Amino acid sequence: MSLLNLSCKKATEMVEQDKIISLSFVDKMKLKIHLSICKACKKYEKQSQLIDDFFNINKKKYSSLTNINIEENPELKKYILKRLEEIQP
Amino acid sequence: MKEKIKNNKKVVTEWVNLYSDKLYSWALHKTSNKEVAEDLVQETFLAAFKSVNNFNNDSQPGTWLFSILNNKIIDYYRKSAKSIEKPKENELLSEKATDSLFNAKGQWENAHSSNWQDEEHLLDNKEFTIILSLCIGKLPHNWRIAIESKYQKDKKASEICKELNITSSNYWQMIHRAKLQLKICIEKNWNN
Repeated sequence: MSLLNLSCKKATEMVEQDKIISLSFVDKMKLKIHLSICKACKKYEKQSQLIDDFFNINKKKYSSLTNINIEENPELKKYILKRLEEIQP
Repeated sequence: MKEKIKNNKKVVTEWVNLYSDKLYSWALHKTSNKEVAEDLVQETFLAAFKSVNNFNNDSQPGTWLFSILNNKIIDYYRKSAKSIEKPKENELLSEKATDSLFNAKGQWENAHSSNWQDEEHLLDNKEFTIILSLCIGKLPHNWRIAIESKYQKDKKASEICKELNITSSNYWQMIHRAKLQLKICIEKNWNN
């Protein structure tokens, strides 16, 4: 689909652009019209949003240490202690 | 002098025993790379040892160690973004793959790909989130950094661009490509 001189490749790129730096009014309208007619691009927009949601959920979940799983690494501990021991005065 | 160093060693040794697992888990979570995480934690303790005399005994050693580690993580991302000036093989392959989603006119090659976005409660589906996480892990290195830094740090786009050494138009193009690549990967691995 190439509506108003807007290819699907460009339209889906503009979906991402709009999330970072708001599009100009004209571009917003162009994109809106394209998405209202092009099913495949509308699908991309939803999929993109779903991926964003995934990252946002994880951001909340993992942004503080209290929520991450503590993984033990005894080898690392041993290795660091050994290196400390080796430091010469 | 010797006595002081001996005492410092004792202090830092205690910290290693108390905090190394926590610091390691955090570094692993932030970098998704076991070797890198181990190196960063090791560097953190060595740096802590060097400047332990500056440590204010009234503050929490954990907080202090985490601030050293977080600076090392930021440095790591900065360095790895700079070292990838030329696109690597993985990036070229992924560019080819995402380009092939469209024809020469920029129209979708396959407008009827699967409709996974319409499934309900998809993000509560453990199997799906595992696939999505694996797909994110397979992205070319700087695409992943671009997309993750957008969410994981509360950073402005301009800061991320500076760190990745790219222009802002490159930035959303990179996010666009990363999302297309995730789309390809999900559609290959998720069939419900």
